[in-house]
Amino acid sequence: MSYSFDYVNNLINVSLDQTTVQSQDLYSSIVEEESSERGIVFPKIATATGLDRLSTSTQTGITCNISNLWQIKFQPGLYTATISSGNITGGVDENPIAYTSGVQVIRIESASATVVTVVGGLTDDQNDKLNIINNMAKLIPASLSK
Amino acid sequence: MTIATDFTIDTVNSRITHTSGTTVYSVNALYSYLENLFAGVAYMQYKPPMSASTPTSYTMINNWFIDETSLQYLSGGGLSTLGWDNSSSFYAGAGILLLQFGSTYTSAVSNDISKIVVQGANTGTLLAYDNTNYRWWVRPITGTITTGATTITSGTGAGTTTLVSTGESLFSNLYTLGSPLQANTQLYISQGTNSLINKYWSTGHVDLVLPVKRSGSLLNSGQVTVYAREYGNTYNYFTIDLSASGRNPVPISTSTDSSISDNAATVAAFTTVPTLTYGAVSKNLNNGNGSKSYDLTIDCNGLSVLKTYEWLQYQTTRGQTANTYTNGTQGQLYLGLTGYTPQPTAPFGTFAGGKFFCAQGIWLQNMATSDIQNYQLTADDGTTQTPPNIQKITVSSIVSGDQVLVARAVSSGSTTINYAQYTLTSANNAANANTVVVTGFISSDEPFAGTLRIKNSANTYDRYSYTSWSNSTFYLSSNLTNSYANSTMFVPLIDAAASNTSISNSLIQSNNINVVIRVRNYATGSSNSIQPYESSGIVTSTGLSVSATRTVDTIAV
Repeated sequence: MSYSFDYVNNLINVSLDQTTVQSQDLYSSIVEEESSERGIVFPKIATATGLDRLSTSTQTGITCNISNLWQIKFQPGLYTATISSGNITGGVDENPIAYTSGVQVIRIESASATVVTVVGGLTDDQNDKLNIINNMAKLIPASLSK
Repeated sequence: MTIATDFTIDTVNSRITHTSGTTVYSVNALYSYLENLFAGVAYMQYKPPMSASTPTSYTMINNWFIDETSLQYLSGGGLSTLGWDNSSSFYAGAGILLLQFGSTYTSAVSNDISKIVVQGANTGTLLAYDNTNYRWWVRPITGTITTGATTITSGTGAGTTTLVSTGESLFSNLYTLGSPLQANTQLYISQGTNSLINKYWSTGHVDLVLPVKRSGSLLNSGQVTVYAREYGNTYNYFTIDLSASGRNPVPISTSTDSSISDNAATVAAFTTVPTLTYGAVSKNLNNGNGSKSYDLTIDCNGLSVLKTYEWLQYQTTRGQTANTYTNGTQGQLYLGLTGYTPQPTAPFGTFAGGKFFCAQGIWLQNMATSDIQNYQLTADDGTTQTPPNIQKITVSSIVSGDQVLVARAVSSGSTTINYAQYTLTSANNAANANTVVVTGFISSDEPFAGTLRIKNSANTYDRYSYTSWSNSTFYLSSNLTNSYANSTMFVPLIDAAASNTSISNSLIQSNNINVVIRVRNYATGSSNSIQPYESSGIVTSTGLSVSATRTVDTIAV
């Protein structure tokens, strides 16, 4: 995913081949731009909150707040774009998405977004036992195993 | 002991000489003694040796002679001579000849006095000698001794004279006064360049009778210079013309030099010492006064201005006969650069209140960083030159890779950059140019080197490094890649990626500068970036030091 920054129109342009914007990915690109030799002379483009830990596998979702001078803009075309994996707020007149002819933007948002991280698998002990069983199974002649 | 026992009257050779004791008598006492003596029956047949013009001004008359060594035991008045000029028809044959020997010289001894000096058919009577300077004083007997091999009948001294002169002599009285004169101050006196009168007096103030004219010739035009230079005290000197004879006061005083902290031994052991280079130079202190001429460059080689001052004082203290650092003059006699009014208390300049006030014509450089403003110059043209207030802007508590920007803000407390600090001229700023020319003059408080941010057609600011600037022109380290006619531009005070835990730049501070400070860093991966740091600040007369707050950005990856 890639974004380009138009300082004439204050637009974060989403690349033509991209129809999905994930808030964390967008924010990371913004921070990279802000920290660049070019971007540091300008005020911040966005801030973000979230990823507060709720449990070992659950964090609060990301909310990326775009500066009221900036907007996200998809490239023109007949397609449906999606903004997901968190909330994107702010922007010019509290509208973070600039109008693009032919593009329908779906914002999947939540008042209490969360990020669930799946964790699991075998413990070392379980893994060892499984390996033993597996090795023993190899000792059974093929004719018997059928 | 009395004057009668200390001074001997040689009526055969008309010679008065000090022969014993250490008592110093006034010239008046000698005169009075002689007047009394020659008024007595025993001396009635001799002509009196002295006359008095004033109570402090006397004359040796009737061909009487007194030697210069005996003058060391006289004070309080001057002596002139009448009748020593053998070239005068009136005194011919009875005057005094001064024989100057060359390198062929055998020292005379005391028994040679009154013996016959022989040079071919010419003879005379030896009255006095100076083996240090190869001189004899002779009263002619037959003929006139000139240059050539000269001996003493049944005597020791001998040599080849290179110059024979005759004429009247003058011994003037010099006495010093003034308070305070620091204890144990040993005064010393020069009589011409690198010509020191041999010291025979004690410490403290002096009252001396000194040769001023010898055999018709004024010594150093009659001028002598009295020095008081004891390291640790302020120095002093006084030059006086003694050619008028009589008694001549010399005011001289010293005091403790409270600036000096190192003793002489410590200073003498400095392993790093300043470098002195004599010769005209044109230097610009960057204080707005442009280039000025100076005649001596003192490179402190990193020493503080105080250490430099101490070392310079040490090089010119009493006993410093070397001329390594004093342009051919003995250090102890050095008064300063020729053509300028010397500073009696310190030949290279004075020190007060933590500042070194260099003497006129001296350029000081490469002092300790902490002292870059602790000095003052006086250029050849007499103008006082004060160093500019060079201050640092430092952003600390950062890490390598942090992008740091310190730029002028539009107002106090604002974090909005003044993007349109300059407007570039319509000409001169085309692609491939290696300069940037702005309308009007560049502000005097721009960093000595740094970056320019020129607005481009994409509404962003192209970054160029400059190495120096003057008037309206920034000199770039690389050529322009675009044309920037009439573009606006600003000059950050710091604009770079940090390579260490702090970053700084320097400028000449004259007025407060409102600035915005930014520190940003993005690095891929969780918690490798920081939240943008931004604050406002003011570059004051003491500079600006900002400790950035680096808060980890837990969201950017």
